[in-house]
Amino acid sequence: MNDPTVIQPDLNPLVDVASLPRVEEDCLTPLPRAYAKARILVYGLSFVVTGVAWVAPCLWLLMQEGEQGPPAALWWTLGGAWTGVMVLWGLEEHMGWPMRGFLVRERDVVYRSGWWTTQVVAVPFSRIQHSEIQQGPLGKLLGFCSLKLFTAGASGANLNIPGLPPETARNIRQLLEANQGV
Amino acid sequence: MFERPQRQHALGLLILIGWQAQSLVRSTWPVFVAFYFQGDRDARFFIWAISVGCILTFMGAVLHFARFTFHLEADQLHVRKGVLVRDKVNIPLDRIQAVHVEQNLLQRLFKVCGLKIDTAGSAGSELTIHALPWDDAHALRGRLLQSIQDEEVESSEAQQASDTSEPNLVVRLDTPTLLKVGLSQNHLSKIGFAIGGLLTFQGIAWEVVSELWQRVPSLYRTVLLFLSPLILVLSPVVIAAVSVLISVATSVVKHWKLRVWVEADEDPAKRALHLTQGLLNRQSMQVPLHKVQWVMWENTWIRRQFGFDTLHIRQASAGGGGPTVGGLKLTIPAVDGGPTREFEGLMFPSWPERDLVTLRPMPYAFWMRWFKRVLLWAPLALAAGIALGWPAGMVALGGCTAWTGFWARAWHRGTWATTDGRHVSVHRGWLFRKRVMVDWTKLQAIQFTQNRIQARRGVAHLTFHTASGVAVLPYLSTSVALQIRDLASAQVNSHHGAWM
Repeated sequence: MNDPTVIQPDLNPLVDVASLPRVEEDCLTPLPRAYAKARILVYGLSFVVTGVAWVAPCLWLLMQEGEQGPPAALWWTLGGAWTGVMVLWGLEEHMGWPMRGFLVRERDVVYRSGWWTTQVVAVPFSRIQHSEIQQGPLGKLLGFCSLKLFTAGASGANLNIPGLPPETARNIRQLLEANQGV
Repeated sequence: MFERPQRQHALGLLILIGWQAQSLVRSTWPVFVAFYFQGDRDARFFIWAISVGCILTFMGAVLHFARFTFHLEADQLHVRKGVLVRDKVNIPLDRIQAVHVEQNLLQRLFKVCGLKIDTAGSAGSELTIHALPWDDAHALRGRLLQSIQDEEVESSEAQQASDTSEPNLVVRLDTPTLLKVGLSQNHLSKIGFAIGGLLTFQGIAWEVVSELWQRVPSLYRTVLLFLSPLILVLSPVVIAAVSVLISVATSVVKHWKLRVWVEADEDPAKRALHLTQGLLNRQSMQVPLHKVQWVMWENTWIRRQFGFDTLHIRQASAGGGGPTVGGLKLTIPAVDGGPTREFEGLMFPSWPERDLVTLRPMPYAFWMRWFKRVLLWAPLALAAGIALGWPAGMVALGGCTAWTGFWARAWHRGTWATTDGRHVSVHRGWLFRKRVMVDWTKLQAIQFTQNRIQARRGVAHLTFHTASGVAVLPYLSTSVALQIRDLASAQVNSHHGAWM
């Protein structure tokens, strides 16, 4: 029996798979450095806030109960969990940054993200119902915005491309409007 | 007809009062409970609260009824509604995905029915008209879906007695099949519900039984005491039997006289699937065939014994996500081989466009699933080892490993897909089997997912998002996943016809 995991070329004679337009992941446009700064800022803030959130009660307990202090297991558990989460998050941010990128083709837009779990989502222009450019206070400060592309229904097919320069987002939107009838 | 703004049938007011009262009670019941437990001294507050609630309900319903008007103009349905916040909704007719007509007992008494309109823009049905004369509702539905002309609308009598007049009848449930549908429902939830109810009300039940016991003559008491072990043994059987009876009764009431037929038209864009069913609450549903986005056949072990599936057909809906979420739903029970082929032909006319290619998850999927399941069950073995000693722990671990291995193998064998290069049909499950079918030309997005370990092992998942659900191809080899992604992407980008 043929290996079912491989497409048999003789079973599909009319489609030349090799000639299909490919998603060239090497050609992805990276996101601007301003967005990387924002992500580092969010990570740093979370690091400090969550760190204080678990260290402060333990220190308070230490002061209340004198030398005995809170049990060592509490320190180890909380500290271990916090360190683990922060290391993994930091690793994901550091390694995941080069993975982030978008590709605008003639008929669709592709966005790739994630280091541990990489996701590549392609949304055809003809399926986009409406789009939204969103810019928060951090985005205004550092000069980036998010482009949200909404498709019909809500089965998770909406695409959010964060960290785009506003000019690029507007250009993509214009291209989208021009190509919607294609 | 419908060109000038018009209100609902006057009975709509009555239904609105009921609807408003229901929503008022739902949002304020804790207040009523609190008032009730205030005791006799404060009973007048309770009466006041009820009176104010009634007046508010009545006024709200009257204002809602007076403000709600609708009419058709320039291929759009215009609706004005709202009391405090006034809404003016314009729905382009080509954006309407499904229109369902429903008639409950009260509505049947006055020969009116409700109309629900679904677009892809809201989580539930976009718009509900509570009361319209039956013929008007069907005429409006015909205009909304642009599929049937006013003069061709069947009268209510013809609808009720329609045994042979429907064109292209695909499914008709006879009484034995209806009973089989009832017998193949999920009884476990009902048994759980019955046991939960018994546990909750055991105090009251015990009192009632004690009281009845006092009234039973002594001779019968002796007989009953003698038979008590038998009663104890039989009680689970009785609970199960009652649960099955409830399932059968609810199925019969829901699917009574179920008929599914196709409105034939030379123009493929005007072909529509119709469904009528219901004994107490009559439903008449209509979905244009070209608007169908996602189709799922599912069965359980019992349904497989009867040789039929349940078919779920979904048009674009903001609820998305399959059978349990949002929008108007078209569900057809007892679909066996013949109708399945017929539905495939209706909703996917070009399937199979070419020879089918089978796609199966890589063997890695089996090992990974087994490993994950063993990890999940290992704490049980550990607990057994701690409580009963290490031999018991080892036996439990062995049992868990064997069971999860069997389970993973069954899952792996039951997961596969076929594609003809334009459609994909995904099979999943072991005890509960599902088959999801989508047309790639109607896709909304294509998602390729792979974690670091999977990247090393050369496997990836593909998710096809439609406007009403997803089809997932798990654990494909990376090269096949990329080929399929590019093929699906090419199909959707080269498609220029109507898709929603």
